[in-house]
Amino acid sequence: MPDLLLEIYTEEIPSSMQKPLGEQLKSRVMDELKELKLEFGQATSYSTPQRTILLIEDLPWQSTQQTIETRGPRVGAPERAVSGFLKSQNRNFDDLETRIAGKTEYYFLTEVVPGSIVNEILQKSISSALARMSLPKSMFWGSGRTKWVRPIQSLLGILFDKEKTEIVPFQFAGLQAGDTTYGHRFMASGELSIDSFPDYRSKLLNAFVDIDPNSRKDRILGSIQSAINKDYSNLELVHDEELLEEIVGLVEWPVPIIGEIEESFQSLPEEVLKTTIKVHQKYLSVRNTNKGKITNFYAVANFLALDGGKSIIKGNQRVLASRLSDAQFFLNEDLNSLPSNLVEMTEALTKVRYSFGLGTQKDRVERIDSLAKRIAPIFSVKEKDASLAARLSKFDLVTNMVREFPELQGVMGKYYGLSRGIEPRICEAIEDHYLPAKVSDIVPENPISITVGLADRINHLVGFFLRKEIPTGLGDPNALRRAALGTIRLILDNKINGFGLRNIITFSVEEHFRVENQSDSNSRIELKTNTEEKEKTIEDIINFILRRYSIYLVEQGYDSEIVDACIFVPRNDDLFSIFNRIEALKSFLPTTSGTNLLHLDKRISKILLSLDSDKHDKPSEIASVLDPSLFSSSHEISLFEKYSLTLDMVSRKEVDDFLGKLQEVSKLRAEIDSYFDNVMIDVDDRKVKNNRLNLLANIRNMLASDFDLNLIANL
Amino acid sequence: MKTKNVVKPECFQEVILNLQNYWADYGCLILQPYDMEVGAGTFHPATTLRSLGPNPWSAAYVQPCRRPTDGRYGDNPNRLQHYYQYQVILKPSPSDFQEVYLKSLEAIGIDKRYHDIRFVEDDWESPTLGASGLGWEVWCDGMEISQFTYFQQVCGIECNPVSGELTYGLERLAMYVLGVDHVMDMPFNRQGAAFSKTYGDVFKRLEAEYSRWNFDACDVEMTHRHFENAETACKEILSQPEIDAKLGRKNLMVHPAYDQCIKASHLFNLLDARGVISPIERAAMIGRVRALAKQCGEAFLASELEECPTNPDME
Repeated sequence: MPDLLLEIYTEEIPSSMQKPLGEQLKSRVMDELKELKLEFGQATSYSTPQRTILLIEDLPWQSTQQTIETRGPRVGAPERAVSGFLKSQNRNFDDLETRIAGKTEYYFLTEVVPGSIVNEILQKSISSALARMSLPKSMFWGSGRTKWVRPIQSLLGILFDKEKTEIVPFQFAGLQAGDTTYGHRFMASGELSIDSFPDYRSKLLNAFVDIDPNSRKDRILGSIQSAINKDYSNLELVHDEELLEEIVGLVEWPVPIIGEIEESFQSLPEEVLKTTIKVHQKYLSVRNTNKGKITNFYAVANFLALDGGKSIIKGNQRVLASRLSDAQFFLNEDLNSLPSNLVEMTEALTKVRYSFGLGTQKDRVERIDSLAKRIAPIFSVKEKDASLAARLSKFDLVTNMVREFPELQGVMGKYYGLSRGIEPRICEAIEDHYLPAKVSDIVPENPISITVGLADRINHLVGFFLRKEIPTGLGDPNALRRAALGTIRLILDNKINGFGLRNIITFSVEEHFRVENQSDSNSRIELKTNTEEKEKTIEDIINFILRRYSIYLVEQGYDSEIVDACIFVPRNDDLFSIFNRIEALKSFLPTTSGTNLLHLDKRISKILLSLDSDKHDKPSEIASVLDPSLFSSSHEISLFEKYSLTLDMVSRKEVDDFLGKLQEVSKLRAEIDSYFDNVMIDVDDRKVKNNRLNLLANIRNMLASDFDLNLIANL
Repeated sequence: MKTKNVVKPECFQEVILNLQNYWADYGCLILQPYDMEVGAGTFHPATTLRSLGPNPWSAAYVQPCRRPTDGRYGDNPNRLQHYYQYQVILKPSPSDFQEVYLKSLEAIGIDKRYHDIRFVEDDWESPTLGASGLGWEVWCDGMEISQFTYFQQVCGIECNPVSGELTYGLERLAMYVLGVDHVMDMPFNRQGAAFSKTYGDVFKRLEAEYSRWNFDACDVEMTHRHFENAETACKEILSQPEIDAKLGRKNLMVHPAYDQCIKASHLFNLLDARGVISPIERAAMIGRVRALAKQCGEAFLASELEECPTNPDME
């Protein structure tokens, strides 16, 4: 059985897009093949900066024959209909067969379609898969009207087994696929003609292209490790997986070359060194274990130079030195010019806009300040510490260093704070109140960092929601989703109980309407909102956070029904309490008691809903005070007694003893079942009926403020 | 195209001369700099306007650029408020554009066998021109030496066909090729001759003078007024009747209008360097220049399509 090999050879595709592009190509082609009911084996994609590669194994040369059946008029239909049918199918009377379908006998025509040549099928499917790709950032080039990530240079498509190789001449972007490709841009020349995947792999390796990103990564690490083992026993590579992944997408043939950092720069703050080395130059940092400092770097070239890389490393060292001397210059400028009382820097923040309609960074800092003071007691943080950390949280935005190296925000704030004698724990908060920003970031544990971090994020969400700049679809230009997720992780990872979002968000909303909080009226748009709208905004923000919470927990492996049953409960706003409920429900549901609870809850909600749809009083109106005098049957009296007992038990449980509450309510199953079996609810006497429904609604209500069990579909 | 035996440049002007010869041999029109203050070679009408519409175009030229905020009084080793760009525009972008570019590096003495040349992702955008494109910055041994862009949009108008644009930062590139660490030390012409000068001999005092002017002296009120005037002029020129009364036929004044757009853009840069524009104003002024660019682009396209309604090559 033959394999299919595809290669799209392009100009350099950005590193971060290579893998997703390969994966999408794979799934689109697979979808096409599945639609055609074509069987195949393993599918694998590979990528380099210039290649997107797909290998699909074990396809047939020919697809299997298929029988297509077309139904005509029923037997006994007018002759005109029958002859029309035959004409339209271009067949004779003798070809007709009759079969019963349903209760009627029809004429049928069957046609046997012989298997077709897979090569031909593939040409169409590949072209259509390519045309269907959705590329977030793509472009036109030349006079063509096809879009791709970067211009396509050539296409390769072959179908091969041990005996033979066929070209699959699919067409795309004005090109036709052949059986040739090219080696490394600088280290190989001419076309390579390819007859199989092993041939492709080995010819490209000989032409200095390793198509497998993982193997390129191993080459980089292997080569660095062996050089260190051999020549530099006092050096140690600073491992950075994210950077490695990026570098792997920048080279077809990785050649790591070690360079030195000039002695005079080695004493720069380590973050400054790392940022310049990583973000700007994409070098790997190397630490000297004797000195405990970063003294060297590895540049990963895409090229084996004639002089063994001497010129390359000389050039790279020069670029790095010039960048570091810039950094040194700005650092000294800042250290010389910053006031001894850093709080004075707040005034300089009036020069920097926060966002259109939300004032300057000074306005922002003042709002964070009042919010932080409000939150501080929850974390036993002194109000004065929270306030100082809040007011210093953004001052570094106007320093030379951060203007030049924006990714050093926070880091420089801490550094300068320490230089001016600010307490280390507050400096720490200046740096890590931004965390977590990415999935891989750690969550700070310093209560001052948590306080300022929460204040900053809540203020951010509130501001943009009031401005009605709410993310829709995939875009999130103001990073509101990130702010919500940061809030969630800060609360969850630190197990913060009793942090009511509604309370703090309401406070923040009011802060935005305080007139004196405006340093630059020019950049501020009057917020005109009535009380009703304010209320709605507050609920919108809470729901926005809760939706992120649900997505986050499901990503963490929690069952989505259990998560939603605990999150989407009216007036819910305590994230850690929600988490406790999820854990409780998760462990409770698989037990017998869990089955009992779900059983009784379903029975009750079913009758409440069905009687509701029957134009009876709405369940919400029913759940009110019960009138025991209206009970007549012993079953309902016994249920009522048991209910009263349970209610008492439940209300005496600790607020967050969710397991205990679930347990208590589930014990009502037997009484509920006998109630349903013996008591007629839908009686003519409206008062009696309502009272019976009312009892059920009250039972259900015992858990309603913690759970919405309706969201659990499966018993 | 034949690759000629090139002489490795020894001074700044030879780097430029080699590029001129290379692109002349390739078949570009060798144009001269535009005679107005601009922030980048892209502003030259030979790039901005010619990249619109269906007609093929290929040109190369040196363009002096002014970036008032980058002035450092001539003290910084590589920051200048006035510097040169070498600009190449090929429309439609040829399929071997990267190869052609790489050969131009050889023409200025970068021997590919010794250097690590990379195309590193960089999406280009000029908010004032309403222009954007995808491409790369080109790195040589970790240093950015060129900008390589496929125009997708110019003056807010989608490009069809797509132009390929190359921009070489000449001082930086030459410093690299010549192995110089401070721009002011770079030989401008061959050293050792009777009359030899460095880059500093030519530009050091200008950098100091303009830095003072840009940062401190330039009259804000007047500059602001000039900005308003340029904006008004641009709109007025474009609102004139299409028929030239003297000629008795259509004669749209696209280029004179575009000059005013360029002027407005530079005046905005000056005000920006003076630090007198608030963030809100900044966004608004960029928007105003972009609106001018859009009108100029549309007017150019309208007259271009009229002159050349269909072009069989472009079908």
